[in-house]
Amino acid sequence: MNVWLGAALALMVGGLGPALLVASRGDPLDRLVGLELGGTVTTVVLLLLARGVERPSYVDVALVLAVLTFAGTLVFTRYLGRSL
Amino acid sequence: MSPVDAVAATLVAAGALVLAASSLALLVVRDTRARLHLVGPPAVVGAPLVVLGLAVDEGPSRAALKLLLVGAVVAVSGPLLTTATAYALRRHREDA
Repeated sequence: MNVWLGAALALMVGGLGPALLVASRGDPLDRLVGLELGGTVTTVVLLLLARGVERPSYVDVALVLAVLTFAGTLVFTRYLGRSL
Repeated sequence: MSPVDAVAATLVAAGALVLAASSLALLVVRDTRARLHLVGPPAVVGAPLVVLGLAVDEGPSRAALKLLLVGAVVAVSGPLLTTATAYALRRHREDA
């Protein structure tokens, strides 16, 4: 357990927790905001975890997640803007 | 702790603070339009600060470049997502 893993843990609790809470209840667009924040926080958590376990190759996971969060959330915004 | 370690730790701590504060503010702010304000700073300020700290800790190398690339992707996507969500919110509210 080093500093990086500790920071990742703190971010998971303080960052992902509220984002997941907001993403699980309420209006669809409120949930989308929770999803966006959750995606950003998860990317950073993955970067910190990659540094914490000292595996530089795990940064690729964070890169893929950053790109997919971006594309996926845009798909949701188009869908929510049209229907409902 | 060397100066480089101190700088890296400060940058990462600052970025993590911005991320956690924006996320916790989601619980306080209730209005959807106001919540949109909370999506930008983590992506544009928080994540790049953490990435910069990690890159400083890594030193000049290809690994640091990859980290900076991840930070750039997140920083570019943040404002775009905010705007797209705002458009969807306006259309959603018009239909409702």
